[in-house]
Amino acid sequence: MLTGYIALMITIILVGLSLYLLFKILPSISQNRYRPWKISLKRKDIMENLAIENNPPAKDDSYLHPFESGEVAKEYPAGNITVQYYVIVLLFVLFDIDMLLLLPWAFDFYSLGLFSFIETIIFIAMPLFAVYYAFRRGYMRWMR
Amino acid sequence: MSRYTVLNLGPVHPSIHGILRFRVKLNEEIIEDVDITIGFLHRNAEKICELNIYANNIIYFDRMDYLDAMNMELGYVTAVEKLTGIEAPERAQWIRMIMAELNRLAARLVGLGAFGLDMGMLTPFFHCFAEREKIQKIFVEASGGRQEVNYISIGGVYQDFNEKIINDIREFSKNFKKRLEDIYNMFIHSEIFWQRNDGIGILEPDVALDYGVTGPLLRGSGIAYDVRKDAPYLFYDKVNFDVPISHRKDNIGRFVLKIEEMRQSIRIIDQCLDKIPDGPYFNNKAKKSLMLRVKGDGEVFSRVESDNGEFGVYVRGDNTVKPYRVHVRSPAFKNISVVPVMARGLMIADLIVIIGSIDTVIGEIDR
Amino acid sequence: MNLLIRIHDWFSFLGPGVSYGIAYLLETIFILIFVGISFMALIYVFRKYMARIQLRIGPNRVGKYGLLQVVADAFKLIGKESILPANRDDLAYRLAPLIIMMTTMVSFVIIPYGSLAYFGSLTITHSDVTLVLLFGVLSLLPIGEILAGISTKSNYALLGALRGVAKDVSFEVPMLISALAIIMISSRSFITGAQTYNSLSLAGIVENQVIPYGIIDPLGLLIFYISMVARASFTPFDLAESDSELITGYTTEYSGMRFGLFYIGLFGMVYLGSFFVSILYLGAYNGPASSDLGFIYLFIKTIILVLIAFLAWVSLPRIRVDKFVNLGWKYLLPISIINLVYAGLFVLYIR
Repeated sequence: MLTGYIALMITIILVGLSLYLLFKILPSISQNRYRPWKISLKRKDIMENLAIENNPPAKDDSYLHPFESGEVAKEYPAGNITVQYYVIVLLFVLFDIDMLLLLPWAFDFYSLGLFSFIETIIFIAMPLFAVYYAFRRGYMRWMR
Repeated sequence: MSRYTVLNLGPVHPSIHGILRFRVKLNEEIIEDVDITIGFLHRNAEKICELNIYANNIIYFDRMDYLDAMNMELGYVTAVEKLTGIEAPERAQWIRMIMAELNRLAARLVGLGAFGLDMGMLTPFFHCFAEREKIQKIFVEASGGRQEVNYISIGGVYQDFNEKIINDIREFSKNFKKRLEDIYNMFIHSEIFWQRNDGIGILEPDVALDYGVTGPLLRGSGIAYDVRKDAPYLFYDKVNFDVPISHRKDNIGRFVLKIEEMRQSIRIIDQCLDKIPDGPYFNNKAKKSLMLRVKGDGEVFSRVESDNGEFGVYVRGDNTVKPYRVHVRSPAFKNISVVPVMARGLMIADLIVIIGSIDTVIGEIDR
Repeated sequence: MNLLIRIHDWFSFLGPGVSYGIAYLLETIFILIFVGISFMALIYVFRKYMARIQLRIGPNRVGKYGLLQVVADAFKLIGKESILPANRDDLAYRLAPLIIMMTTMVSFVIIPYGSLAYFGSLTITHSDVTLVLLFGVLSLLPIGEILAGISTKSNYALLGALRGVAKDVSFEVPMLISALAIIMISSRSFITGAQTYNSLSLAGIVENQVIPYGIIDPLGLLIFYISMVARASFTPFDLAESDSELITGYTTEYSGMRFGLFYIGLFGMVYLGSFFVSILYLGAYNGPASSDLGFIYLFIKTIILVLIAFLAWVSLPRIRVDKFVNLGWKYLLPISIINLVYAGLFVLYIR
């Protein structure tokens, strides 16, 4: 059974290696802000560049601040997240677990037949009612 | 920890037209308040105008509403002509009218394209700019400049129209009618466009009057006020055109109104091309050598209808070769000040669309 | 006698496990290279296509007809410095683009590609539950987005990440329910009318698909395609990285190749999703001589779907976030449940 996933493992290893190459070796042989442009494969240069890539010296402080449309940020986002997003994620969790339970049913759908089909419709109607409730109570209305 | 999130839109932001700062106070994603900061593009143009002779100030007006340079020049030049008593010949006035309307079209096209970009629509922008390019080719032929034209001068225009320019304009106006409908259809047949704009950015007429709003924004609220019709300058009383108004008061109304005004502009250009007489294009009293000695006395206020609304220029002379004071009533400044009223209670995406619909040019606000 | 079998034979002296492993390695590398090259070609086509619609010429400087433009862009992005913001959460900041990139790349390996003449089978993940696996892998995308949003203390990134997650979350439900309908239809064989036991794997679904399910279930096709375009953040639904209000959304603080990985990941999503749609609904590699040309059929179907998504990109404005979420929950969800009922009735009675 495990042979089916060999390809996935190979991909993860290959992509992982190539990403490592992308972020470690390629930037370390090419330019960066602190050194003149050159491609060097000498071990000393690569080590130096790697150190810079991992931990760049902060020469210009404002350069490293989060972008605030040209202003210097006075405060950072304190974590006020719109309530609507919580409602959406809650509904999603509800439906996702629902779908998880329904996958085996769909797999065996034909042999289970009509009765389980009607049961499933009732089962889906329950979270659907939750969506209806959320809309009805105005939790999904963004502008009040 | 405050209840509000403060989001900074600008000065360096992709969808604010120029450098202007909107400090938006957000309650969740709903706009509670908008705080506008201007002055990032202040170039002190009004004060610099006091240091030069009258004829040299025209270039500073080019750079106010840089998209609508002809109308800016026209505002200043009509004021100075009133002050100094130099009259432009008839042919020059017709030429000025054609150029003003062409530039109004060019400015509107930029506004429309940017309006599309603000909504995430890439394609109309390029189609608008392709048309604007044709107008700019005409400007290059006439004045040598593409955007900052420096074409209208005291006592006439810089160069006479030759046959090529007139043919170009005729051809442009013939093709443009169809292209304009194409651009209009790109927007109006999109369901999402209606969703984004229907009922968004409502401006009540009394609020508009309180804030001194003019131009398409005022006419979009249902008040038919157009300087070209109400206080005609040049020969706007000798051509037929309508002043469209919209009673929808929202973005859709303003959009359709702007398109309709572009159709009217084309109508004016067509009539002007038929009526343009032969004769001198320049008043000999205003030759370059004489301009050094032109003196103005008293004070005048002249106004023209620019792309954004009523553009007024106040010039005061103290009987010297330089103006004593130049002041500009800039329409975009008044228009941008209603943004907080229009955007309150809406979402951030709506604020962007409203700014795109108002279509301000920061160079004119900051001067 | 195709290439894969030959390679298997050559290395058979090493034992069956090793020779299988080598064949798998070759297949995987072939698919990754193919996906990479076709993806770059797709970006080129997209840019040319967009340029033609917008009265421009498009890339035409690098290489013949600008064909190497994408390569040049990639080298430019690699050569750029990646700025690491000062107040970042380091692990989350570095992990986010990798998650997005890895998710897309791994998903491409799960897709069954049919087979190609002289090469052999291109279906490389042989599992009974590839459909579930694909959904499972794709559900990692919001994690990458939210990590990118919260790792740097930027308002734009935070809002963009929230929108991105809302987007993924609201459209995953209609997508899953439509896929459920497909599993149901696929659970009864068309020819014999007996129950099939391979409807959870993508290859099994294609095998059962005697006539394309898009004809049986057009509503599902529509819902699935819209949800797919939405999850790929294509323009009517690109509010997570909407240029006009949030600078580029959750990728605001990224630069250089890290930004490039986000771009590849999300642009790859539409490509992947088109593969997904053409497998579930359009019969994938079925067709005349499908044992030789199956891969080409799949590819053509996918490209057509991608081009439709491109057309939507260039011509539509961006939808607002509340309308967008309502589209998912208010319209697509009830319609997809109606579609589920229809699919059940179809399997039980109509077939």
